[in-house]
Amino acid sequence: MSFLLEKSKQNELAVTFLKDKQVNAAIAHCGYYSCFQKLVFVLKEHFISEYEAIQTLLAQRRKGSEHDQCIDEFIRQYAKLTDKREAHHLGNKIKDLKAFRIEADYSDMEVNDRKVEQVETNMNEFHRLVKRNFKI
Amino acid sequence: MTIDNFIKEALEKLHNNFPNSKLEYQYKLISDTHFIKISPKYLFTEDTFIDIDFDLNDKFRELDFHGSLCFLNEDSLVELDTPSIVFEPKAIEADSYSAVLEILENSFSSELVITNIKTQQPQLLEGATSNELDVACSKFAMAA
Repeated sequence: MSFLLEKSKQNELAVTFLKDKQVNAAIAHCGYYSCFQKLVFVLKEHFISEYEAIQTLLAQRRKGSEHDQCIDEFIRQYAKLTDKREAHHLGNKIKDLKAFRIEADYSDMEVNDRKVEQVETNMNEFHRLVKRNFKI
Repeated sequence: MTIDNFIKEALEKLHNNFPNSKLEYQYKLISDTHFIKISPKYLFTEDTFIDIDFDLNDKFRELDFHGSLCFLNEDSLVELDTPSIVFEPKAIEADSYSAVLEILENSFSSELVITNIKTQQPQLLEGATSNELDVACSKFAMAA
């Protein structure tokens, strides 16, 4: 198994573990990275030239976020593969999770049980749809 | 085009397509993300909204803006605490009591319309008695 996929799986398991222990603060972090690592794996495996174009662009610009670029490209490819409705649904969930992860890690906000449930829902939805479409 | 103009045009486009929606915009520096929240949440899955989402994201990338553009609804993780731009639902325009009832009965957005009725009562139901207004509200509440 790819190390990226292995890390994605470990982060997914960490969400369940942390939730059981009520360690809410780290759950958004693990939930988001579980999705992002799998997303990068999909790009590297299935959309090689697009992934390389992102790396080239970022190297030329020397600015910009690899996360934003990868997520946007993933959504674009996902829409071609399935349909716009599902890509819209999945894209906004991962973007929401990404932004929330940053707030959970760095801002003075509580990660309460309701948010933990939402993080887990977003993460599970991502893995469910990726599994259905990419068989991983 | 500046990011401010882009956001303004985006909100106007959404508001023109969904006049009964409430739109909120906030940029969060911490995540370098431009958030647009639309209420009520059923609009989030409308085909027109999905098409606009893709169009705006394509344009956002073409114009090479920093950060990310993200659409939210009431179920989203991220909450907007201090939106810098808010578009309220447009007032319902009708020239007769029966037209108002028709709008109410055909509307999907019950909560929004009830709110509008209450806040826009003099313009909406000019000439209607308070009893007629009560009937309209209760009829609509039952339908909702």
